[in-house]
Amino acid sequence: MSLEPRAPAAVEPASICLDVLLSLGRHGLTQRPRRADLDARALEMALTFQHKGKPGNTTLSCWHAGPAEQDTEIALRAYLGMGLPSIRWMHMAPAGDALAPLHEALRAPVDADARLVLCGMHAEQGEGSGLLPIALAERLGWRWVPGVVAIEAIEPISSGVAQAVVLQALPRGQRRRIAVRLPAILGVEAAAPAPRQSAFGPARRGQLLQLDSGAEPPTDPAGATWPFMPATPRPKRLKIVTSANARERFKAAAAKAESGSGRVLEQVSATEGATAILDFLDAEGVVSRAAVTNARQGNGR
Amino acid sequence: MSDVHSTSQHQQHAVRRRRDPRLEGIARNRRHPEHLAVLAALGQGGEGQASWMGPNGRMRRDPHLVGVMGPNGRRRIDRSGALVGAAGPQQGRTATQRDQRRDVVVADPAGVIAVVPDLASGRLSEHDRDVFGLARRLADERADERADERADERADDRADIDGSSLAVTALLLLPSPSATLESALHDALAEAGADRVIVLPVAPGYSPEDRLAACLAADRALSPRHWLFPDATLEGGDLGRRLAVRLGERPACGLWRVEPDDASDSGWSCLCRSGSGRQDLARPLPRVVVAAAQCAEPVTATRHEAREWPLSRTSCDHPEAPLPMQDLGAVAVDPAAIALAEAPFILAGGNGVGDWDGFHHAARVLGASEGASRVAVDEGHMPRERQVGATGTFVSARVYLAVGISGAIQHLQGIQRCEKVIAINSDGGCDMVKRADLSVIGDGDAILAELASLVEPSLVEQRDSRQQLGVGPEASSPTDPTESPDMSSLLSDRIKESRHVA
Amino acid sequence: MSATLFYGSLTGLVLAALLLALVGAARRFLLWRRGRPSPVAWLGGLAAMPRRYLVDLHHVVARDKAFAHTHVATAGGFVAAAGLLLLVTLAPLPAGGEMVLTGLMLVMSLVMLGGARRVARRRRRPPSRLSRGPWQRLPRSLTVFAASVAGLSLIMLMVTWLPAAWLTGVLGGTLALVLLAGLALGLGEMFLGMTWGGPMKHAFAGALHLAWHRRAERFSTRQSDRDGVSPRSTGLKPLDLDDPDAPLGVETSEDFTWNQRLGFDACVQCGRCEAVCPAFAAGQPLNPKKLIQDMVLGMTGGSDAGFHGSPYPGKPLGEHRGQPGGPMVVTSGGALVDADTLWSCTTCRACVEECPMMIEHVDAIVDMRRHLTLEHGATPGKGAAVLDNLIATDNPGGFAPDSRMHWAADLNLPLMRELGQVDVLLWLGDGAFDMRNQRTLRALVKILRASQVDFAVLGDEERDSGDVARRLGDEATFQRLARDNVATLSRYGFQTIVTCDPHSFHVLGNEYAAFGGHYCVRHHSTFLDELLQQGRLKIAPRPRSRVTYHDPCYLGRYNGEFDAPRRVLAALGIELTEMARSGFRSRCCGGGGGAPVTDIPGERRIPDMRMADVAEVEADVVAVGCPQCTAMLEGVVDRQAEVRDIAELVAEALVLEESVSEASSTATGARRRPRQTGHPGRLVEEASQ
Repeated sequence: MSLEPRAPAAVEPASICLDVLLSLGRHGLTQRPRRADLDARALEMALTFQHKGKPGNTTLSCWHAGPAEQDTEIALRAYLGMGLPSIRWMHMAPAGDALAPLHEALRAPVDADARLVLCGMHAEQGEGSGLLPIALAERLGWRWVPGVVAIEAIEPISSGVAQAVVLQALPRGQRRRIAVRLPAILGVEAAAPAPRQSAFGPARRGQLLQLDSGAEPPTDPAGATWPFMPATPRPKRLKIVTSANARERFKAAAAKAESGSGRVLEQVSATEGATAILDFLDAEGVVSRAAVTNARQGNGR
Repeated sequence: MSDVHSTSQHQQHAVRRRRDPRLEGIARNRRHPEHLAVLAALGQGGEGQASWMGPNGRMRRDPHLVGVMGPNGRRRIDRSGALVGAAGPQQGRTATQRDQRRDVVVADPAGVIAVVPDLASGRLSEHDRDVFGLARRLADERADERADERADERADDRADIDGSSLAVTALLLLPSPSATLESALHDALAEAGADRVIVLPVAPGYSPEDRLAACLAADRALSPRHWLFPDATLEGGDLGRRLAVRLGERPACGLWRVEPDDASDSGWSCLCRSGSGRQDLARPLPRVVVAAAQCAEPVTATRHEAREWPLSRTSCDHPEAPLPMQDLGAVAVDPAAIALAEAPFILAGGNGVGDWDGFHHAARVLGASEGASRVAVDEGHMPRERQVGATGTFVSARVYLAVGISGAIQHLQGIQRCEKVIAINSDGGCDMVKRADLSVIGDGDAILAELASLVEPSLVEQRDSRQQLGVGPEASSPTDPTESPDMSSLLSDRIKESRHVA
Repeated sequence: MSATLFYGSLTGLVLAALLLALVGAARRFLLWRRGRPSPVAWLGGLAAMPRRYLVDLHHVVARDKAFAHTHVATAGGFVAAAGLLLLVTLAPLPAGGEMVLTGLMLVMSLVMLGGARRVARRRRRPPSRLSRGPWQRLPRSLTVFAASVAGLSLIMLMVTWLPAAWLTGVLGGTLALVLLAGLALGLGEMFLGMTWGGPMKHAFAGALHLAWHRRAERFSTRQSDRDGVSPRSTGLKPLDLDDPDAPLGVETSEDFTWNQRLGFDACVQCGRCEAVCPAFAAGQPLNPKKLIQDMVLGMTGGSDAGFHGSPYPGKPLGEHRGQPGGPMVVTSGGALVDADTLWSCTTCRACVEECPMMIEHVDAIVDMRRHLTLEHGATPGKGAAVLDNLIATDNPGGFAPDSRMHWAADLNLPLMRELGQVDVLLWLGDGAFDMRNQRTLRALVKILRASQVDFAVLGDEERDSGDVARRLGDEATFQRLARDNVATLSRYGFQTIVTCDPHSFHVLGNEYAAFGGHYCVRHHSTFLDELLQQGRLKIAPRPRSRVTYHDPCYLGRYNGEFDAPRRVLAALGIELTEMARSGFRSRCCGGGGGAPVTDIPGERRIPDMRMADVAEVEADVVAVGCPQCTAMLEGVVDRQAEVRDIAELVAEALVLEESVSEASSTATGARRRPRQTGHPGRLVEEASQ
């Protein structure tokens, strides 16, 4: 994607510590374990940043908190296949709350000038509400930046304080640049660059450092009482007709959702065709209404 | 279509006539040589009249004359009105329709439901209205029950449910220099269902922490029963989650259905879609709600007061300077370069495009992302990553405008998820035309050029007028522009400007 | 020059050349042996070598009759003359015997001289596929050697009769000196060059390559001649994934097995592979000949500037260099081979089929691809997405596995799960998800039903055969799919697997054996041919306009099935118009080896060239037998010919006789559940009318 260039960062802090929080993902159709897409994008962002900077400057550590199950191992190995030497895997009961062990892991001070945590905006498993990183940031007293698609730079602003310049995804492919004081947690968005391929060799070689979090973390109280069920398809909203007229309401209720075939304009002039298209684009809201009316007026003249 | 016009005219002139059995006989006999002439003379249709006032004052219809010719040459009677009803006069009727909404005033609310709309580009989005609709349900439905229990017999036109109702309160977080409620926005809020409006100034630009502080100030002042946010990634969704975490609540995220539930403390239970979209979570309705689009029907039948509620932020509500997050502004992105899978509007070219410069120009002017068929890519007109189709990128644009693409199966598979497809093609029988919602048969290059020239001058005028009003892209806050129809032209402006600078 | 001096220097020359050549041979052998181990039958291979040379190799060389004769004269003459030279100069022989042998040597060297002149004539204006450089020198060296040996044998014959002074005279002395010098030159090229890396290296390495070939099973034996089969060995060799220390594919040249390295040295740079390579013709950056020479550079090191043939299209010579022990492919440039060179290959095996030295190009390419995919995760284009889909959904398109049978919702296909035991298992392949291929599958089902074949499908239990995953280098995913498919198949009883996908056909038939799956697999064209011959298929032949047939690589070259599809078409009353490149020389459609997925840009598209071949014979219909070929050829813009699968053509000509339909409905009715009222029900109706 071509972007307005930004003035290059003056200096890079001497040492940067990147942590990536990884979770178990599942394929939408088959439910087979795999990398969670957003977390994989977060890891990709971290790996890209590490590769881009001065060698040895950036240390990368990856965390997972979850039960010791085979599916989890398959998913974590898929992350390792992106070229990670190891993932720290904090064992936890299936109903456990990942907040406590992750907080414990990240709270430990590290010897780095800049500290940044990356994760996907929400998990593919469980509630997936995207609350965890916010709660984590709140507990740690760190900044939380949602919707991140790129880390442009990490630069020192004063002694001991660094900031990260990141790009945030706005809808429709637009971007916003944000500078955030570190330490911070970045939530990575689906518009971030796609993760690299997971390769078999590194996945097999990489190490899963199994950590036993000493005290059993508190279980998530909600999980037990609130039932999960397969998503029911949401009904399509009907066009609401407010008319008091019975015929109008009947028409709205009885109308077919979509007509089978579209309108075909044959043997029309280029202008007529273009106007029809512009009307359509206007109705769909992708080209400005004002532009169309102006164009019509211009046309009328 | 002329039938519809003449019908209404005829109704006015309908008068009783003397009966003539012979003429009536001819009028009944469709095979009579004078049938049509007699019908016309009797004012019973003929000459294309589909309905007329019968002798007993009832409307008579000639079923042979209603309906329109279908595509296969057979007459279709379409009671849905999709074909006939789309004609002009009805549009006029709706425009002049009397506003029939009831006015609702909550003078003395029992509590507050706070709604923080996203106000993308300064206006209420569909999603915002849905959330207001949800708020109204929460405020009114159980209140109605309570009101019923009190056996209030007043059959008043005004819904007066004071004392039992909650006030839906819109909390507007507007950039600080000019944080005033404009009248258009006020009307929109009133129609969306807001009883009260609070305007709080926040720091301009992207400042989630300041917005959170404003919400917290409101929370302290009003302690609302519920906080409702639209679940948009960067705006309401984020703010709602932050607020919940700060308040120590567990929010309902991705909420899409609410049902009364006496077992729950709040009196409601809800269904939330999980992050993966594959599961639903049923739970009691919590205090903080981050609701998905179409979580409830927007308010249509009532109009509310939207009375401004004075509340000011004290200085201690402002976080300490300097801000930990700094908005460095929007980054101009060339729509042509937006990743295809993300793009909302794609102009795709295929083998039938001869003038590629014209194609690029049209894409630029329309603010469309460029796509291409495999053939166009193979021919080297477009880079490979712009290829749409099963062997390229699967796209999910809102509008897909295909020029000179005949529609190979692989290509059609790639555009399956597009909402609307427009085809410009010289071959009316090709598969793309069959798939398209609108097809123009003709020379693609000429039509594109015409389209570009139609849009181009207006864009310039539009930008000029916007700069006069002081709402140019520089002045507008970089908020969520999701539902803004202005966005594409606005983007083109930005690009043009950035190019001028460059 | 005295006779003693003459003989002495002659003997010395030959002896020195022989010794130096042996030293070179030992060095070269040790160089090859630096590769990974590969067990071979050392003596058995050497014993089989002459037959492999004279039968199998000559079979390939003889496709070019004129040059085959040239080569027989030159090589035969050289081997005989050189052998005799060694005997005459080094072995103690009785005088009479020596005379006879010298005479023979004269004849042989003259034969070689004749051959050498024809080589030289060919080299005067060499076609672009031939390498120049030292190879232009070779005919001169051959001539010099042959002429010197001829002259020397003449002298040796004549010394007996001529006065001894003749040799010591000025004229005789000079002549002898010139001839000895010529011999020295010739020996340098022919003996030293053979083992120290000249053009004649191909003879030495080629001979040993034939002896210790990695695929000994591809050569004919007396037994195979007696059985009338032409042996093939086309399945890829599995990687050992259970051993964590075994390399995953080939990173450095040393990761090739030693006899693969030996094979690279056998290359004679004749460029036949280059002439048939579809990727090279399309201007994609691949030239099989250059690739093999780069593999040689990987063993010995050095820049590719010394290569004198056509470069990879779009990649000038001299920018890449090899280094023993260094990486062959580096994704960020600077190594020996660029990754896009490897990904350009369609694995059509045209190069292997044409190679007179029996070099296995495809094996080497897939070996290096394996390293890229398994170690670097660097599968280009949509490759990574396809592999992810295969891992998650068992099909390359990422479709829901339980939607595999949606195309046949109205056909009520019998399921293996319900029947358990049938004659024919119909393997659908991933074409079941492709709307175009579904037409072919429907046609095939119609034929099977009409000919009362007892068949069933696996339905949702079927997975991708793993073909694409394997050619893209993802051996891990291939092996997983293979094991799962073998496990599924082992639950059911069937005689034959029939499939209309040659890729599945090849993988099931040739590559599943390593995972315990031994099946009798038939391509549908073969099966239809059998049905026709058994008279189980009633068709009404009708002449069509011009029809040509495109041989799928994985059916023809991989599995040797060229005749059955042609017999089926003939039975349909079609008189085929053959394209210039058909049969074993068929040009690939560009759809194999994951090439459409990796999509390396070139100047042209391979399917366009193939459709141009079709247009050249002015065919209106091109008959195919492969879903990939169908998709690729139908994707050609403005094509003149219709692309029809053989099954579709047969289904069109099918005669549904009343008795047949009745019989079929009763025969299959017993197995059917009552609710099935699809196709057979319709047949009953027709019969009762």
